[in-house]
Amino acid sequence: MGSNNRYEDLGIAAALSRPWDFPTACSELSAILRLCYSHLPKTLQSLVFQDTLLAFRTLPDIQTGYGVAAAKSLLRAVEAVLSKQKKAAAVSEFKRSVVAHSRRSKSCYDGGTLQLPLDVLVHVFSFLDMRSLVAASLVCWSWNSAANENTLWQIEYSIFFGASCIKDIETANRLDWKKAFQHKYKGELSIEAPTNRAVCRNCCSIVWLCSLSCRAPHCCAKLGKCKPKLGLISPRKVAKYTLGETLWVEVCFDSDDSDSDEPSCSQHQLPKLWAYPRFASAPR
Amino acid sequence: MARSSTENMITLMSSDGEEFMVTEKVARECTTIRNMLEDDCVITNIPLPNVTSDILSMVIEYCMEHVAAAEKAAAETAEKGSSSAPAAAKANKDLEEWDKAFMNVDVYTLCDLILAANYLNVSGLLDLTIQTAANLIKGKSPEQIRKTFHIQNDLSLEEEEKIRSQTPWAFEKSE
Repeated sequence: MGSNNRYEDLGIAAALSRPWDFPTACSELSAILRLCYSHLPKTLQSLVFQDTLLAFRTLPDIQTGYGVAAAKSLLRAVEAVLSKQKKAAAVSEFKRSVVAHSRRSKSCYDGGTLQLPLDVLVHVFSFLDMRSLVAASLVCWSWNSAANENTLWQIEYSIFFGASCIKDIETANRLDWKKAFQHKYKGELSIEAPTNRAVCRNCCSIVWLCSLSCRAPHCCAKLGKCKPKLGLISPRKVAKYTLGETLWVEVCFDSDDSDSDEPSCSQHQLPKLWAYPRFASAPR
Repeated sequence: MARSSTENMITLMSSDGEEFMVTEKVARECTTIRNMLEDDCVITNIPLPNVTSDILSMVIEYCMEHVAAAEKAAAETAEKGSSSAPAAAKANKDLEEWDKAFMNVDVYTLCDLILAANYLNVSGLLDLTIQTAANLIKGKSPEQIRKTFHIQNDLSLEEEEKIRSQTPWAFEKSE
């Protein structure tokens, strides 16, 4: 598979139109610009440049602070890497967008507060990805109690780590799934910069985390209904993947889902899992 | 429509006393109303004390559009013997576009629609509105969500700190 195909499979252009995926798409673009732009074939270079312009153009529609921050760091990558002419085009696109963005964010009006009943909130939250769920839990007291609903976290758990080994329903109901999730997440998937990208270790496909929710879990192409094994993937890894590097060195994942992993021993596994520390000082 | 004359008309009354005449078929899109009709088939006037007239009119608009789309699809299937896949796909896409345009409302209306769809049990509308609300939440910081939904933060600093310290990986630096 050529780098063009690999790049297109990443679906960055489409992700730019989704406000929740915009920041990650931007950081992946900047990583690609910084790490491998000069090694890419000409056609792909122009594709990456077009997507960069697209990112700046979509900025006014992205009404989130994360989005603006990501666009700014993309701009820094543009300034560092691109040729004079392209740089000028991108910078002027960015400036135009920033003006439009601030104009639009001022036009929101203020009214009374909104409240939805708990069961409806839980229903809404079942469409959220994990990070948005955590953000929702910080909004206010009633959202907090809805976002801590045990069933939501049970499903998040199974999205990331596969259907649980705990078959006994009674035990499953008694388990604090949020705690279990946090524990395992800290141990297995720790990564410095939050990202919305994950890779399925079974089918090697890169997926957008935000498109995974309790309602639409990742369907692993390879194993049908088998356990998905998702791991987060940093923008840098994505950039390297475009160049043709394999996603990870084959790691032994046979250690079964024992939830009793001590955090300390999971910490030791980390470097082996992702070889991440080398990239720890990644420019953001 | 020739059939509508033979079809039962049902009057739905909103909380502010406005009356809406709809065909039974449209009313049956609301599971809550369908259950009422099945319990007592002579009912023709249904008060809905939880739904205001502007929201009820939107719910009815949604139900009518979806009933019409379903009828059109059924008629086409009957005409050709079997439904042609591209035509069905196009009709689906049109309906999706319609849904999308229908969801172009402010958050207050959206929340009222969610509550109405929940109360009347219109599953299609409930899914649509809930998905729309979820999309408004996704990828935002707590502060931005509060701004979007006009919510006051009533969590104490300690509570907030506690949640943040439990899930440090979920946050990124904002500007």
